[in-house]
Amino acid sequence: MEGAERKIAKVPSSDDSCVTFILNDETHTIGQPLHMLINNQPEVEFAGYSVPHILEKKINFRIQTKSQDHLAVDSLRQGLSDFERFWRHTDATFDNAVQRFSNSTTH
Amino acid sequence: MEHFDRLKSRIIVEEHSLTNVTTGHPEERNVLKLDFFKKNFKINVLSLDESRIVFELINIEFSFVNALRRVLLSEVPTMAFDRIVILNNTSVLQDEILAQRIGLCPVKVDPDLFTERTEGTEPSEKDALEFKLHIKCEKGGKRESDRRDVTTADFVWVPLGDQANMFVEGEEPCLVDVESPIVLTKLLPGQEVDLIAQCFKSNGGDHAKFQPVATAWYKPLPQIVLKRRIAGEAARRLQSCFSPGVIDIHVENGEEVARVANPRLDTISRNVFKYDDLSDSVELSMAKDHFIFTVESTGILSPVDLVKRAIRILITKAQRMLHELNKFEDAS
Repeated sequence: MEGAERKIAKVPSSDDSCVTFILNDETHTIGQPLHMLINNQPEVEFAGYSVPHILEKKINFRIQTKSQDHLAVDSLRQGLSDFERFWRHTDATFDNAVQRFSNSTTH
Repeated sequence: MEHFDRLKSRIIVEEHSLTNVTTGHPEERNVLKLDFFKKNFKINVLSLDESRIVFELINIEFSFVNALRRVLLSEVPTMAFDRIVILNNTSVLQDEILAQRIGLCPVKVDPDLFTERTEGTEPSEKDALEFKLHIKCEKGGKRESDRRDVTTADFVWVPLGDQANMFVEGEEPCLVDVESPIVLTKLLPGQEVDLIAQCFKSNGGDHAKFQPVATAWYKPLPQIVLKRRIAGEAARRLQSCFSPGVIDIHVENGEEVARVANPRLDTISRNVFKYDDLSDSVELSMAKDHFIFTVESTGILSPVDLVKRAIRILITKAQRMLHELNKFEDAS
């Protein structure tokens, strides 16, 4: 591998519907919510993560889908995309909440 | 009836156990579905001042709330003293102890103005902030007033490169006062401290001194339901089992009767189970998707700013990984 370490690596597998991804420089912070989101997807048979060693900051993220038609990487992509959208919505909701609070206390 | 429906989304707190804990199969968790979330997620700010914000999040999965807390603690970057060059230190505190104390003092400057330093390069205006501290306690007598405290107010900012133009007058980098300047060491007449201190940018995951929060935490919304009428001396005892303000007493037909006033203040201490006659009188529970989140700032960034930065970091995490995945696909 050349240059800086890749953010996402893949344990080699012959089956694209059952894949273990290695997310570098990540912890439970993203592992826990992401695995809950991906498990929520109807095509996903199994989604889970583990920290292979506490002294190394990375997680192994495993996704197994219910059929060969659904690629594990698509589930991961969907999960990450949903994660981003959840937080964007939270951002906007938080702004509104702070605004409402300021308005109510200045009256 | 509404009470029992709410029970489905609550963890029941009993004397020796928690029940109804399983949140159901992830496929059934509404709060994980984006559409449900967008319609039903609410945030209410309960209190806000310049150092602390308390807000509640309703209809959100706990792992998201925890992610926010983890990012606030270990991934929101700040500037903190990371290299101290001690030219002279005749105070009673050893060099390394003084340096450690200085490192823990929060530095009030916007971290976005700086980049993280790369190992082996000379500190420059883009990644470092320099302060000078030179205090000498003049020779004098043995009176209390002849001694001198060295505090964070004694630090003098030394602009590097073009930094003098980066800051508006009155908003230069300085050290945070916690009600009053933080005392670093105390000098007796004749003693001196002379050092140059440099700040670099990093995050709480690297060293706790970089943590911008003092601290951030959340708790699930407690609920207390009185199952029967509790009056007289028992009512006073019940009130003492909970944090002040949770249970209040009102007079009904000449008798003192307990009622639940503000369960939000409760710490779920389960003290009520100390008394046999009160154990069966209340039902304690915690919401599974309603949290009260508190963020206390160390003074570097405002609490609202902290939450926004943490959310931004979480969004960027996902974006960065999505970007990588797309590169993956192109490569394979």
